[in-house]
Amino acid sequence: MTTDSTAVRSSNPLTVLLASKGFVLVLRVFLGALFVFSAADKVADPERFAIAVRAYKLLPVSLTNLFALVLAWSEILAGIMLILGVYTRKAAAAVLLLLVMFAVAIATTIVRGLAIDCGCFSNEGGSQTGLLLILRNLFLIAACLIVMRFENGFFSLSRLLSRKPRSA
Amino acid sequence: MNVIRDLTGGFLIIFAAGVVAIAQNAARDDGIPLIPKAAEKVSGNPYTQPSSPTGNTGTPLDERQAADGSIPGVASSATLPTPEEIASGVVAKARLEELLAGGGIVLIDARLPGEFEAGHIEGAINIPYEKLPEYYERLTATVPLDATIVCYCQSPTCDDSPNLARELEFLGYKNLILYKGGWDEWSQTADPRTGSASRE
Repeated sequence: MTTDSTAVRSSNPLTVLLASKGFVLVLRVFLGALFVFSAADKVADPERFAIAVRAYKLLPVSLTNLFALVLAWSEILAGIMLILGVYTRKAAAAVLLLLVMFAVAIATTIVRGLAIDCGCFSNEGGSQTGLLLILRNLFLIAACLIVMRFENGFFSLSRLLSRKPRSA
Repeated sequence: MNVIRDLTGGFLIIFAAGVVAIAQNAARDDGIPLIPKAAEKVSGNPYTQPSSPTGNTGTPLDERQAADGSIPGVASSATLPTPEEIASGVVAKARLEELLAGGGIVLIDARLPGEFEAGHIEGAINIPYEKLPEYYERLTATVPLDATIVCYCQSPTCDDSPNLARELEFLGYKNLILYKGGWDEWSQTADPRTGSASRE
């Protein structure tokens, strides 16, 4: 199934827009860049990011450093894969899993009355956990689902490498 | 679209990222321990011990001093915490007053800025535990690793100061003491404007 065929078959303008090559490409690169940007600071200073992880009080302290390391590198790896368009749907799925986890963690802070920095985009702080953050995550989750559903390899490294050389 | 296959692939990417993360962390000079050092000694960590009914753990420092036969406030060592006091991890109010008068400690209020502004112990700086990432640079720029730090929060049962002390230990601070009475105990006899303890 290709995205183009979906778009051609559908008469719904929204589906046509969501399935368009350019729209999926923009979403894919946006998500990838966002995750690489947010992970760069965490990878550079994992200790500080581990502090943000511990502030959620969801994990045993003994696991927080390892979790912070894995989380930061998951963001950066999945982000790079999305930007380059390598295993795009799987990378979008990885980002989806992370975003769902973030949304659940943030929701628990609201329920528990914790007012902490979310540790979302950098170690600098400034974004406090709250409903707005959950809404933002839901928007990003929707973007992931669109990429997973309509990704067609447009402008991707995967397609570039899979192209057969022209015969002489 | 095969959702199960994509999600499995997503998990594999996260797993691969974990392998890269551990390898990269091991290779870098400033890598962090996979298990935080302070978490390995929970049983001996004064910050994780439950509070006694009075809010203090271990022997109160003023009682210890009496038992040692030392005279608080006379010798210069009385204005600096002793190694035993640092090892005990807690300080009582009377002793904290002496230490503050000596000026050899850094007093950190671990509560939120609004609570700090409403009233705090004179001389304290505000590093709220719940916003520590935001205050990280201020902390590391103003408090050297070898400083003797006393942390407090609102009351004997609050957990912001023990949590902050634990984080400071992760960051490499060694000389950490809790004033477990907190602002509630201190403010009973403090000047409400300055936070200075009034002498009775």
